[in-house]
Amino acid sequence: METNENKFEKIFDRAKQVDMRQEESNKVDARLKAQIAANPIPTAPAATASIASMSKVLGLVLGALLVAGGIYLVTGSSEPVLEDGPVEEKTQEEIEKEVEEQKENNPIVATSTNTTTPPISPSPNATPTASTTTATTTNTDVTEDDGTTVWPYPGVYTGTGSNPTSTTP
Amino acid sequence: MKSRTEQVFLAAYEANKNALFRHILMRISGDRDRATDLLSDVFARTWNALCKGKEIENLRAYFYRVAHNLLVDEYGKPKVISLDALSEESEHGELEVSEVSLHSDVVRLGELSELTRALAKLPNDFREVLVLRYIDDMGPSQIAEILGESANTVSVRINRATAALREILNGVTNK
Repeated sequence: METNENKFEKIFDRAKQVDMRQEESNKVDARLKAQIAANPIPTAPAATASIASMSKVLGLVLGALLVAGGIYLVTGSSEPVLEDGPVEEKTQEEIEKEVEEQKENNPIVATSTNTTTPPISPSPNATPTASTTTATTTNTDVTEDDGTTVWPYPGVYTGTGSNPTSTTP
Repeated sequence: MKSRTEQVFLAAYEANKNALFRHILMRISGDRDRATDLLSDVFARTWNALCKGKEIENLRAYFYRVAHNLLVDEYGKPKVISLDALSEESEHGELEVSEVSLHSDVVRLGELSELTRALAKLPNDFREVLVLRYIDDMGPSQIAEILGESANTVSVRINRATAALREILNGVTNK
């Protein structure tokens, strides 16, 4: 006895064997032929195609150049532009000489600030205050006419050489 | 001299015209003259699309897609009917009369095979997936591409349609 499953398959197999009849096939062929003749696919000439491809290549090259230029402008060199020409190269002697000149023109002033907190006062009513001591040293050596250098305390010490003379009574 | 596109199109036409004719014939319940006209329309529309510069990767799938659209245009959008509703109607001998008689004016009962008559009793969307699956031998993913739906949806519909068809065929056999 034929099962339902077999019947199901057989019925579709039979349907698959249905084909167009010759006259039906001829009819469809003729219609399609007429359609193709009336409405052919436009073909692009070879020259047009090659120009189009060349334009594409040219466009790509120009595009790449523009991109490269943009990158250079955005992330270009960070070196400053020298407006007055190249920087002069100086010898070690010249540099030392400049330093000496700068020392003479601008004496060094050393300033130090010490802040100390005083010990807590034994008096309960006393208010502790911070004291500030400022020491300033100025390098202002005094040079005599003969070229010797003396300390800037005339009342305390004057003299040159190895035998200073005290002026203190 | 034939262009490359024309050669490819004509080769696809020769390879698919019989299968497409069969597909359309089963979908419209066996009217051969109408199937021939619709088949000519499928190829003419595809050719026109190529003339307009449309790039078609899979000509076979495109032919079926055009056939699907033509059948929807002609017979309306497939109405989705749940299997439960279908079974219930079948039990009471009240299958969707409008679906069955949709093409009654073109159905020639003397020419119809048992399958064609059984398919005619199914909703259009069930008939469509059954023909694509069992006569055109397409898988769910190929059918999904033609119908523009997900493969999962198509698989579910194939199962329901198959169950409905078996039920109809068994009913015919048992009578």
